[in-house]
Amino acid sequence: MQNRAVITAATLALAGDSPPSQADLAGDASLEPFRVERFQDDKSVGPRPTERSRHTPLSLRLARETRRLLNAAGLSDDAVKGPATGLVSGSRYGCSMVYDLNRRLRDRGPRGIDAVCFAQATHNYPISVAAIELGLNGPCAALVGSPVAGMEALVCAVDWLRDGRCDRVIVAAYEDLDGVATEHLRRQTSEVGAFQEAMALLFIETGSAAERRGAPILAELRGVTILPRDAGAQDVSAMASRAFDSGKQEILHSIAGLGGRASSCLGASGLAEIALRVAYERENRERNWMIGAFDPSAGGAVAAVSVSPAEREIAA
Amino acid sequence: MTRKVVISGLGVVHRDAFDVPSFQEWLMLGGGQAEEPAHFDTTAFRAKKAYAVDPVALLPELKLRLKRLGAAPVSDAALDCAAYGLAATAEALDMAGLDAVARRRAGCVLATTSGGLMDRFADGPADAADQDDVATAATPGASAEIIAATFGLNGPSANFSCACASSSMAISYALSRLRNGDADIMLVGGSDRMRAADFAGFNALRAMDRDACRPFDVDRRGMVIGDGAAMLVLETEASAQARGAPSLGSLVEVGMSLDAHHITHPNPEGLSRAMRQALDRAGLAPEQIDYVNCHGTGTPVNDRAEIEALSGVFPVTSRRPVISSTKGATGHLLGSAGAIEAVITVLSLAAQQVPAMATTRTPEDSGFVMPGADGPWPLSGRFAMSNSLGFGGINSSLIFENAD
Repeated sequence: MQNRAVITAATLALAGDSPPSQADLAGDASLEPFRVERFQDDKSVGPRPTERSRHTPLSLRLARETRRLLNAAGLSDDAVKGPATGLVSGSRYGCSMVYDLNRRLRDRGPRGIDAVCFAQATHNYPISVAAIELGLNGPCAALVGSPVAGMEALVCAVDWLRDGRCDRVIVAAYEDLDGVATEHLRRQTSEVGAFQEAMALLFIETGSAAERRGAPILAELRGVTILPRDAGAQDVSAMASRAFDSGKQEILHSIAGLGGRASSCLGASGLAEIALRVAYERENRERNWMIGAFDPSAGGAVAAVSVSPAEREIAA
Repeated sequence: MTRKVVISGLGVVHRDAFDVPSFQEWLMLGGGQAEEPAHFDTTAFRAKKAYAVDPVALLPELKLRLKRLGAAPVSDAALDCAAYGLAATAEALDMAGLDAVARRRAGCVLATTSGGLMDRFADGPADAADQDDVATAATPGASAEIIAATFGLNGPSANFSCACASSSMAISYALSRLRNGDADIMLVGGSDRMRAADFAGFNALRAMDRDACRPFDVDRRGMVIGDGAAMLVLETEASAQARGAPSLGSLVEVGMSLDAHHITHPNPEGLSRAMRQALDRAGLAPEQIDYVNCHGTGTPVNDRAEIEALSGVFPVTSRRPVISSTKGATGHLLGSAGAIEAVITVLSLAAQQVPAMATTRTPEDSGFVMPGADGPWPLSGRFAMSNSLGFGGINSSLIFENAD
């Protein structure tokens, strides 16, 4: 029998307005001029000296959000240490240090590239540093480049749980729109659209692992499905029917990209929406959601999520 | 019940061989020597040599393959981004006998390190005539999108970038899609184009040998990087049998782990865990593995850690596998390394011989049998393993079985 997957914590950080609203997550691109909201790195809470040599701004943000997620899950560092915890990330643009490396070489020549900045210029650097800090030894992967990379990361995490490769996975989706990424986004969107840097994290566990430690369950992942590039609404409906008793239960849909909406968090959109539903906008009764992201160039992924009633909520 | 996954097609693009038969022949004879890349200037760097494909030389063959398969038109920028992957894909799809209808249900999962043309986009003038095409091919996932669109692969797609373990992580994802029923055919592999920045970075790390990569040699001094592409068509056995497709072997299992130790220095315990996980999940004893294609970068640190990990998993008291690293012949293809080494492992099982290690003239006393420098080494078993280690401590171990 396959392991059941549940969400026991979620965090969402969005550049600009806080707390996040539905309008932050999706909007009609045709109505807005080009705008990119970026996280403001607060120098007063910048890296401690021990962190300074290790972290990039992105990896530091991920490390801090991971701590926030573990706090929300009610877990200490020791509890997640070891091979039972995996870590996976998804991002459209990935780590901006990768692009910065090319510019450094152009502007400063070979001497402009040192061993540290090169080691930091991999898309898995942020999650690898987080794993080192927390001592995570489970599976680890970075998915980059797809407009729905965050949802692909969730698919990967569910694979690992259901295969019994680990008991819990930290799933991260983010966008880091530094320099070249913003220039590229402007070019690709014909200078129209509103975009935000974002970082959404989910803590997902097997149902048995969550029950063993008595963790309140924010939501159950009833299924995750891949949408092909030529997908339509019927594919989502078919999945919803499989995941839920659709004759009896109301099913709500929120799939970034499928209805022609421009998603402002890019590769983080689907995961940001799940975090929003399970941790920030919960109601006092169970809600069944089909949440995901879709793009015609890459297909997509949709999660069937049963959000638990709010009275069982723990601090998110 | 777990679905059996077979390999029905392979494709390779390497500096010295643009297809599988010529690659296999070239490899078994020991490969070639590293040279200065044709497409960028390396005079300012300490180590100057690599195994870099000449994209101009590949182009005529690529155009023939695209035409033969009735592929969609490809822009010049898309060719610049994904030519190696497109050529290897065309070969793999052709070998698997996948026509346009069958391709529609196939998925596409790729691996890169930096991928895409973001360097060219960043450096190009905004008013350049092809800047829109360059932008379309700029993101790290562009090769996957271009390949899927060109060949009409409409199934699940994704792009992995986990440093040098990228390809094997992509293979694990493709395996899950097949076993979970998300698709019955998956194209998976790696496609990487060498950039001057990669060259500068490995030079800065002092991880490159000036002349040759000598894996497991007492005189090893580092790696030599390369580029190219390698693709595998993975397919459920039921689908392959229904199509009458060839089975070149099967992908049995994948093990994955994280060191949580150091960004650039591997910890043997991490790789040991990945190998043990793969063996346990496959239900195999260590002595059933006949050959291990090691990550074997030729750096002192990597090879030492790998031998330590192998020694723990394959005890000296039992029958040990033959081990080798093929990076002395091919160079280190970074994000594509896991894919080209998976192809080599499948070919080695099929041919029942391991390629010569031509650059390893004075092998260290590792406790494992390694092929010599002068010719291939015979195999006699059904199972082989291919290991990948990436920056950040990501490890994976793939197990393949020879076709019946």
